[in-house]
Amino acid sequence: MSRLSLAAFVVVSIAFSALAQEAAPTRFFIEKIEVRNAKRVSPQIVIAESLLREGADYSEDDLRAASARLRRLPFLVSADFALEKGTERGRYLLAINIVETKPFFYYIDARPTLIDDSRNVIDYDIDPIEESKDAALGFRWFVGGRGVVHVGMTSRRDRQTFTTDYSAWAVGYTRYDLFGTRAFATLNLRLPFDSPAEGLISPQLVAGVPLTANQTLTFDYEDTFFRRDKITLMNTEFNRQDAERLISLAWTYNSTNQPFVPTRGTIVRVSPLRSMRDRSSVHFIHPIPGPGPDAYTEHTNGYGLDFTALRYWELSELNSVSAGVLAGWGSVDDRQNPAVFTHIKYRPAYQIVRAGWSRNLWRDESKAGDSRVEFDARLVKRQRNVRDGEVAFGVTPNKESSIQTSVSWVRRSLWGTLRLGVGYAWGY
Amino acid sequence: MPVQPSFTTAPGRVVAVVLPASMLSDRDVQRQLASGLTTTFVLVARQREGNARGAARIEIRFDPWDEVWLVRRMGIDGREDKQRIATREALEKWWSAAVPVFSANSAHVALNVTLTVLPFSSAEGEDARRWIAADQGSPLVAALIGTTLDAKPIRSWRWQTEVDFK
Repeated sequence: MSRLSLAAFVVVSIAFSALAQEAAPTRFFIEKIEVRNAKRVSPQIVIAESLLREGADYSEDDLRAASARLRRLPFLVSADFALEKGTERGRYLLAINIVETKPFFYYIDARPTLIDDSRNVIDYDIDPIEESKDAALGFRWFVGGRGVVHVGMTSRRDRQTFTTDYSAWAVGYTRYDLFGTRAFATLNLRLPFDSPAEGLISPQLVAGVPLTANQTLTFDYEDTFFRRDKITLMNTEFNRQDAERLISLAWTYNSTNQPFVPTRGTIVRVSPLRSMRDRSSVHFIHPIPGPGPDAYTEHTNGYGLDFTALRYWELSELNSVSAGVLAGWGSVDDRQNPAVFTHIKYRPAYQIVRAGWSRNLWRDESKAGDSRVEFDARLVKRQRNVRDGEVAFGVTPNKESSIQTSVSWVRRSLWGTLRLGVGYAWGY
Repeated sequence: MPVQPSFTTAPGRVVAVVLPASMLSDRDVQRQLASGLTTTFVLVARQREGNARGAARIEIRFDPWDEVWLVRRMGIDGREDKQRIATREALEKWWSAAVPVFSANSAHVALNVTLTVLPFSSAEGEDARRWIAADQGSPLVAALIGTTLDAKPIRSWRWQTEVDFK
């Protein structure tokens, strides 16, 4: 026992020694940063996203954090650092050796879920995707040193019930290192095609500021036009409009090792959300034949807060486990004019506890990606606290609980990330 | 050809590892050693029957200006060996010295030993350390698990051994 205590004491000493040594870590004066093996990716963007600057000195911790940050970029597969002699003694050249993804990119998560209807009914969409709310498929070009143009298809999903999920064609431009501040902004023009209506060109602005190598503050503004047209019924012309405005702010802590298939590190995100939706259309509220349709307008105000905390551990070279909590709360106020139902007010909420295991199918580490098999299990609870207008929800339950599982194969390559699998879920 | 270290005993029922110099010539290890940044080797020995474990750490950095190897080794005995080494031959000799990695409490011990090679020094980033401290509250766990949290291992080896103390 005393030997065990001694061993534990010494191991603790090693830890303390490491921390003590860190009190005065070696710092390297980086006079120049060179990005190597860059074929399409702009070296300026890589340097900007590393958050490192020429003419400053950095510790190894700083360099490691920068390397990890670069590995999380969607257009890099790896970024290895090396120090070389600079022009004078004590000065260094930092060489960043990168492996790029291809200009065509995809992020596809295809995991249909089989729902066991013999138990309690699940009355909401099953969405096994935890982190990336946007599926994507398209091309990316680096332009002008600090810009990226992309065109493709995106898919917007979130876990709040009062916002709209849809897919859209998108063309956009991202500017990195805005005004030399390392901030970035993306302007997207999207055309919804898998939405309540045909969709019109809709703008989205995303602006982000890295606070540290692991923390980012992101502002997202989306105006989405699902419909804006006229319809003539019984010789009367009516305006139809359906538009949603989403404004969200997200603080994210991300120390994971890669963007789409993390096996190590932590993600914590807190994101308040404001949504406004305006609809105007026409409905028949009188018996037919009768006096004809009536126009109506509807305005929905929503406030929400989403919280995500996921952590990944590598148990060995091949195996990784993860666990986390996702939760969200909202407050929704829906008014119609003229009112068909009463004024509708409710507070939706969800809580998800998840655990996962994944195993690398490739024993050797590859710079060109990886191939893993994954198993996920989630306990999902949803509630709706109706304050006003209960009748509008019909027979849909105010509380639901389910267990959802999925098994999948995921392949990350220079081209993108493909996740194929199948899920099984049941309510209880 | 698999890399196989040898295991020896030291006074006080201590198990020591002698690592072969060929490990330094491994392609991935060699590339990291040449990077001018620290290469960290974390040795962890776990008793196969029981929860006892020991650890040791070796750090090597090549300084391109002085063209010397800055090395540091700390074993389970708590002794720190810090040196500046001028030649590759001297480095290989230093590397092949026995590293105390486990302190046993019986005359026979069966161990699983892993050697993980990490880029950069083993000290964790401030953010990561804060999370470890918040979750674990133990520098022991930080030493053994924390080193694998943030840095992507370059290479790892795993061995088994049984040692009898006379």
